Amino acid sequence: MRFPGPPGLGLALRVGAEAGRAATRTAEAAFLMALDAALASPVAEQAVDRVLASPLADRTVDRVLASPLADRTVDRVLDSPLADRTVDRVLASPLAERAVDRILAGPLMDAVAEDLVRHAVPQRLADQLLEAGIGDEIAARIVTGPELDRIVDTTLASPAFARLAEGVVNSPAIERVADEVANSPGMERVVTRVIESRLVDAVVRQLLVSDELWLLVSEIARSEPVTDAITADTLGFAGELAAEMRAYSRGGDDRLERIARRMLRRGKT
Amino acid sequence: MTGLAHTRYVGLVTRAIAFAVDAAVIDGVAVLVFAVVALASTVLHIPDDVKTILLVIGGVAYILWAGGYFIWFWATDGRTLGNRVMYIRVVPANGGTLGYPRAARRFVGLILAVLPLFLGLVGILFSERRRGFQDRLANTVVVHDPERREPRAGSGRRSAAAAPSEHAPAS
Repeated sequence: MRFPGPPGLGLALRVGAEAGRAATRTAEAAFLMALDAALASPVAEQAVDRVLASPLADRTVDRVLASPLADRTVDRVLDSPLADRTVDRVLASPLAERAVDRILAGPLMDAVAEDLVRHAVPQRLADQLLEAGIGDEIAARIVTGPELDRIVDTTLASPAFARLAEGVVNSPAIERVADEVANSPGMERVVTRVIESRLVDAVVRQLLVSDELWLLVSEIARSEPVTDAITADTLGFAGELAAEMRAYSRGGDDRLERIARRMLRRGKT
Repeated sequence: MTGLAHTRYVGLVTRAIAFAVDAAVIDGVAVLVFAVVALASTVLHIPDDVKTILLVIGGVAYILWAGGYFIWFWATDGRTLGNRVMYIRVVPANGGTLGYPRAARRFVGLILAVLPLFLGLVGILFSERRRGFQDRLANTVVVHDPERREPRAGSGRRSAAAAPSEHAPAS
């Protein structure tokens, strides 16, 4: 924007503004130098110590912390994008990683773990969680949730599970255990009790009176493969019987004739 | 006779078994028919005279049935059901077909052979072609069926082993 005025006024204003900025920078540098010198001086250190040690500082801090302004400030800081960016940067920085590594590798973690174990903190925590019903809730959530189905499906479909199942089924240990179970007196007693139980009688009675069973038996008996097999077996048996009879009868023909001719020769002599 | 040169004549034991099978079939059918008639007679009131007549008719029917059975099978195929079981066949001694007249003559010869205490069958034991009286009367021989073979090798071997070669086929 240009202002109407006498020639040379614009130049004078620009020179004036530049001079003002240079004066400001000079004053700022002088102020910073003075501040550094003041802060580095023993007087400033003593003043700070006195202020921090005074009850006034405590009261001031208490009032600041108790004021709604502090809460709002903290909330604003935590909700601000700057806080998120700062946290992200810290977490992503090699410095944080090194710090965590050093903490985890250092004696602090060992000491903390020893203390946790010595005071049975995990047990107490687990007890409290179980008493609070967290375990039941977790179990109910797992059982009713879709994650369990997904996990089971994925597990069953995985080649690793197939290899594991094959290894388990074909393992000599499983075979030995199955043999021991099958041949154990306990299993024999269980089977005997099941067979002698009323349950088996009831099941058999139920089966015998069910129309479906007799329908099934009738269907099987009338099925072509079964009738063909019975016919083939019957004819095969009759054929074998007839073949045996024929073989023996031919031998019988010859033997009977030999006996008759021998008797005839003896009669003649 | 050359047609029968490689056949083997059938002995008395095999023929007796075949005859037993035939007798079982004939008597089984006769018993079944008799049982039906007897059951019917228990329901119907039949006079004694009629019963006597029915018995005579039944006897005649039995003879006709038995005679018809043998004659029809011999004339048509040379094999009764018993012969089929034993794989044997009645054929004319001089070749050709048997026919009804010769089959009837053979049936009469069979009755005549059996009547004198089976003496007519003794010829099967001693004649070279194993012919009984009925065979001589009808000029037939009984041979093992050349069209039928034993289904199992074991039975065939046993049959061959049990068959001595003293009865060579007559030429």
